[in-house]
Amino acid sequence: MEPVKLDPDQIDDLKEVGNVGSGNAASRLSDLIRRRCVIDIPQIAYMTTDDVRRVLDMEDSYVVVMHIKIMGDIPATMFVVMKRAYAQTIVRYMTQDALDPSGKDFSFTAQFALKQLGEILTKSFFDSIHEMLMAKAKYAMPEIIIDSWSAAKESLFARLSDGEGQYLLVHSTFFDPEKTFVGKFIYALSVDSQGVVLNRIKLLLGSKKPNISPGGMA
Amino acid sequence: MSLRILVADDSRLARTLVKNALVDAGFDVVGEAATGREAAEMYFRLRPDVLTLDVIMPDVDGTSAAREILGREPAARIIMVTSLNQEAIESEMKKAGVRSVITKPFEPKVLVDSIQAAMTA
Repeated sequence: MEPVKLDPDQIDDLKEVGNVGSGNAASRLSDLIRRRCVIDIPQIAYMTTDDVRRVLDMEDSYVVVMHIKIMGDIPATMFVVMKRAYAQTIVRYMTQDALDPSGKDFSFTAQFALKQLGEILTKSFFDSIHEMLMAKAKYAMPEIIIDSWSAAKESLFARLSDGEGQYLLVHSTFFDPEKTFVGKFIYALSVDSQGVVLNRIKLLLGSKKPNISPGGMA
Repeated sequence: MSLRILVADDSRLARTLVKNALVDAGFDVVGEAATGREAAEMYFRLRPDVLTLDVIMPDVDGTSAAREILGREPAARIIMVTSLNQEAIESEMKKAGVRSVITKPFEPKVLVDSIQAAMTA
C-alpha cells in the first residue's frame, strides 16, 4: 500500500491529535504520582528505518516498554518507553514500597503497578483522541517489556512489521519539571488508520467556516 | 454587541474547534495567534473581551503568555484550553489570575459557559 502523503496542515493536525492524547495521558500520570507531568510538542515521523532509529534513539541502557494494541475504528499501536531507572522512579511514586530494595529488579507488585500504569495511560490517551475524533476503541492488555534497549527495539520493530509495514509515528516526550523521570509516548498509525484519522479531522474542520474579523491574523 | 474573543493555539485544528464553538454561540472571533508571543502582542493590539489560550505552544508557552498579560493587565479575562488537566497547573494558573482551565477535547457548552462566567465574575 502506498504511504499517505501529508501536507503541512495535515502534519499539524496529527500533532494536535498526539497533543490531546499525550496531554491527557500525562495528566493521569500526574494524578497517580501527585507530581506535575508535562509534555513537549508532539513530532511526526514516517516509519522508515532511519526515522525510527532517530525517534527511538537512546543509549543502550535497560528500559521498560509498554506495548498496547488498539482495535476499533482507528486500529493503532502505542508504546510508552522509558529507562528502567525512570520506570522505577514512577513505580516508587505510585507504590512507595513495591520495588526490590536492591533496585535491580521489578517485583511482582511493581510489574503489576506497571501494567496498571500502562492501562491507565492507554485509556486516557485513546479515550481523549477517540472522543475528539468521535470514534470507538477497544484496548488490549498492555504487554510490558523489560530489557536492554537494543533488544527491546528489535521487539518493537517486529511488532510494527506485523501489519502493512508503513507507519506514521506521532511521538512526544513526557517528564516532571525536576526531570526525575523522562519517557516517550509513541503512537503508531498504519496507512489505513492514517486515512481514517485524516478523514475525521477533515469532517471536524469542514463542519464550519467561521469568519475572522479583518486585521485579526498574527 | 457580541463578545470579542481572541483564540491562541499553535494547532490549526484546535483553533478551528474553538472558533466553531464560539461562532455557533454568537461570539465574534477577532483574531488567531499561534504562539504565546503572538497571543500577548495581539491581546494588547486587539483588546478582546476574552482570550482563549493553549498551554503547550512554541516560542513562548501559554502559561508564560498568561502571566505576561496579567502582569500588565490584571483584569484580563483569560481561559486556558489545554490537554494538560492537572490540579497543580490549574491552581497555579488560577492563582495568576486565569479565569478557568478547560480540558481538550472539550464540549462546546463548557467553553461557552466559561466565557459567560468570566464576563459576569
